[in-house]
Amino acid sequence: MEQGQIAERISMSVSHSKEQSCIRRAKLIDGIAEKIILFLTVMSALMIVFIFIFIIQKSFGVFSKSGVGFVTKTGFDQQVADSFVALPDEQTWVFGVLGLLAGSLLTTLGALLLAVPMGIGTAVVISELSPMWTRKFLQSVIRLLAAIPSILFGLIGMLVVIPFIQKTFVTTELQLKYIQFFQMDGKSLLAGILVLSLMILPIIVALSVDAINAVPKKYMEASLALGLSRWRSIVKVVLPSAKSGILAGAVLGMGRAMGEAIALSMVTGGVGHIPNPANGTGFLLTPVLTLASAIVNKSEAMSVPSIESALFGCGVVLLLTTTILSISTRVVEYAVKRRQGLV
Amino acid sequence: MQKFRILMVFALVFSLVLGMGLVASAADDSVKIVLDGKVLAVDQAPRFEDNFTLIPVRAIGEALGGIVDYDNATKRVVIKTADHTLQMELNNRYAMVDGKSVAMDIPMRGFSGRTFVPARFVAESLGADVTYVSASKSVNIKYFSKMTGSLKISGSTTIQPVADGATIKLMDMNKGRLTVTVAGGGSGVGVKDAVAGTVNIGNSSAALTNAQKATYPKLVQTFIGSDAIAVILNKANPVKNLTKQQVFDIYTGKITNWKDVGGNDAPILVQVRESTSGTAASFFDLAIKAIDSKAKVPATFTPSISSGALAQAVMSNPNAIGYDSYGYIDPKTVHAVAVEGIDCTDNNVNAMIWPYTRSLVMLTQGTPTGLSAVFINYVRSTEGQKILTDNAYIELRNKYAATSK
Repeated sequence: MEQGQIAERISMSVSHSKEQSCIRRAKLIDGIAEKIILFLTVMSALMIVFIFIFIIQKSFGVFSKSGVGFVTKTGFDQQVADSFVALPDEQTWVFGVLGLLAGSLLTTLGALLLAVPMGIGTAVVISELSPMWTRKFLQSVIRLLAAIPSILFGLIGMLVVIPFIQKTFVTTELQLKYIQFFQMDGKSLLAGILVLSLMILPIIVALSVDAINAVPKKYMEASLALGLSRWRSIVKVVLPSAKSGILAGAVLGMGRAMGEAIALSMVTGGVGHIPNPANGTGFLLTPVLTLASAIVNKSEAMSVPSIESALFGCGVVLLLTTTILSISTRVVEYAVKRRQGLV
Repeated sequence: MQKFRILMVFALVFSLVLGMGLVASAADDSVKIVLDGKVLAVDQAPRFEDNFTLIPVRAIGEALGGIVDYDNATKRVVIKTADHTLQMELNNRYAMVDGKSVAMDIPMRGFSGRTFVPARFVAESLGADVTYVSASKSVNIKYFSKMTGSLKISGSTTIQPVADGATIKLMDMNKGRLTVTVAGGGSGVGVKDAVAGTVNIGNSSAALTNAQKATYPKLVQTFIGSDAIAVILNKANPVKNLTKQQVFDIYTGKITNWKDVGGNDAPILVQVRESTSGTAASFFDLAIKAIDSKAKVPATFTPSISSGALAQAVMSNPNAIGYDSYGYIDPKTVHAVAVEGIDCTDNNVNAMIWPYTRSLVMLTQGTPTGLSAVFINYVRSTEGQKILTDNAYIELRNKYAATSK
């Protein structure tokens, strides 16, 4: 009797310990997987830190010599040309990228002004106004647009947009009028804005479509039930509710626009002029150079330490500008929400 | 019937494949000339005489960086490298190596209109090591892959990409044994450093002037090629000729309207390459500095990041002017304008009559020796000259450039 009980107990404890070891193994595997994922996360976070440190360290030389003048003074093109031919002991390490900063900001803002209304409009058409099959079709077309490499946009800009600008806006009289300030040949701020707006449009559309689709259907239904027209419901109810998603699209688009290098370097003319609003038409037709395309255009001169440092300096300014811009959009968003009493 | 036909096709294909294999193995059967680990391409198979391998003179001479001259009247061949001169006469057992008479095992021979020289003798006379590997039936020549030590080079930014290219290749062939540093600074720095002895080789994108030769009698220049730059206009532009002064005035911003040089009343849209381009540096030296050494090209001119982008800008803009390495000009898309009445043609460029042509030279103190000589010979070799033409410069061995050796 007792013996039987003992045997039973033993067999029970054996099966129990078997179960336990199974659980333990599963836990161990889970733990390892967690650790690996944690490690990878830390790695990618470290990578970002490393990139920051690397860029700042590389650009230290130029910032210590040029100081604030790096972003408040102009003349980058001439300074690079001079540094490239200067001997090592004649390097000044003084650069001024105000013109490049102006180029980056103007092309980005111009592109946003064009692409945001267009993007929201397209998103409304896709998610609210079109039948299912058109919706699917349009959405895949937009996705395809997002997948086009920027070099192709650059080529299209060079072979289609610039000749178009030359034919439509550039006249010999205008060229003669501005020749003492800059060479008007179609490569311009306008070309940059047109090409960029095409490039950021898909991002804005994609995020806006998601945002609009995320607005509960009942909002629209309630609005329609209250007697608002379809159009008024979209403008007054759906879009305000989707605002933060749309804003996210605009911020991402802005990031892409600021960082775009190769397409812009092919169409904006590559000289760091600051367009003068007093020039009227000439304003948009002024050749500009952006921070990102300056890095591409001048990268051949990296063998000169001062130019290398200046180009990394451009990178720092670029990073800071995008950070400041995206923080300020968040602040604006917050302020607007507060005024509406949403926060 | 059908089956028979298919069978025939198979048989045909099979025999073809087999035949190809046979041909290949036949080629493998003959002696290979291997230079620094690579099989030397010869247009005529090597020949044998008393167990010595004879190969076409140009193939071996040029692969080792020599200029090969054949004088039909005296039946003499002269191979000149940076450091050696080798003269041989047809069917004569005695050769002149650097001015000394040396007996050869077998003399230079002529076969079917071609001149064949003993591979080992020529390679060794020019400074290479030669071994014969009977297992693989190959004559192994080591010349550019037996460099040990370090070399310092500075000077012309035009030559810099060529020197850089050669450095990469040579340091790869001599891993861990050879260090070459190439600095820029410009041709002036190249001359200065070579004279001061702070570098082994000074690069200059202009041949030494008579004044320089008199001031620095020890300086020796070895030509490595030449460089020409064309001035290009839109095909619709009526201007057909410019003077050097006009080109200078346009590129320094003094002339801004085409009517001042005989064209339409339209602004001149000046296209330049990014200041870092070798072409820009060359053009600056030839067209601007040659007239006024202190003049500057305004930074407001439209820069292009590549040769192609610049050509595109000139092509699409009736009022544009640009410049480009002569080798890149496509007469279908742009018009290479005459300067000082001289047309921009192959003949004028290669004969160096074209105003914007200059010699590329490497300068050393005395006749180059040791590593310097091997480096210069590499740049002058068949393989090194490819780096030169890849950079759109004109190679040393073109049929017109008889003067620049």
